[in-house]
Amino acid sequence: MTLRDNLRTDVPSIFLNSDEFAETITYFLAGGGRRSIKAIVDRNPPAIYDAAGDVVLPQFMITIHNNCTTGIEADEVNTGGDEVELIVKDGDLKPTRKTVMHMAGHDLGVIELALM
Amino acid sequence: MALSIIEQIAQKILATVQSMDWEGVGIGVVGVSFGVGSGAFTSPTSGAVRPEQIATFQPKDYRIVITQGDMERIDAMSCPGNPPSQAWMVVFNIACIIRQSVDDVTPIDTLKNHFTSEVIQALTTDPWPTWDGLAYNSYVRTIEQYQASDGSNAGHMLKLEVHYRTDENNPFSVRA
Repeated sequence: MTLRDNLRTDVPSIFLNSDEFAETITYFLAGGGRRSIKAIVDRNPPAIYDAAGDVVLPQFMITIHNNCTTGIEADEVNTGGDEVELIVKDGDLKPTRKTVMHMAGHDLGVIELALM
Repeated sequence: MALSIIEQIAQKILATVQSMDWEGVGIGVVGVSFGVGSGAFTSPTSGAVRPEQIATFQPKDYRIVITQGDMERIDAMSCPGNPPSQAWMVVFNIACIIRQSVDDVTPIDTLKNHFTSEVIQALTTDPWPTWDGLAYNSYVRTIEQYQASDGSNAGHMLKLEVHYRTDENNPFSVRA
């Protein structure tokens, strides 16, 4: 098995392990359909949504598997309409819908997305 | 709670944009449903919003975000009296936001021009320009381009200038 293969297979079992830091989110594709996937969610301080004149919005970074079944493949991401449902604050009973703003980075194993 | 004149004007502007007779389907974050199928405007708006200090709205394609800019006293349009009337100019920033799909090959400027033009059409119908007697004039002063540095959205920022008068000692009381 090559390093390239290891990167792909290690992500769901090691990095996106629900017993450690990962949680389940729902990803809504712009073209239709949804996928329940594992993600590591960084809940960041509010950030400037500069397009609207210094409006500030809560910002999230999610790390998900770069995979078409256990995650989202990089070429599936559409920043013009994809959305994610996640728990905004620990203890919230209902998830909140957020917008995928941009892809902060990706490699063979994971994709990092910024949400607002 | 009594509303100041400037707040009443802001609410009129928001209501005007929210009540646009949209052809597309969209749900405003403040719970306003827009028309389906037969409206005069064709931009598929996602609704208009005045954000909280830490906003809770969801950025979407065809979202309108209204924020308030600086207020400036206009001495030339103030009038003597007892009490005197005080003229003010306030700028409302009306962001017309586009978040284009990566599959859409339409030039972004085409989308921006169409959306902004329809928002101007909507704003400049009754109760424009006096907002039901609250102001004495309004202007769309400038249309600024913007593009988010991360590429996540783009659009036009309309600078809507509203001129109004109140009692000098009572910003809750409009003066003609």
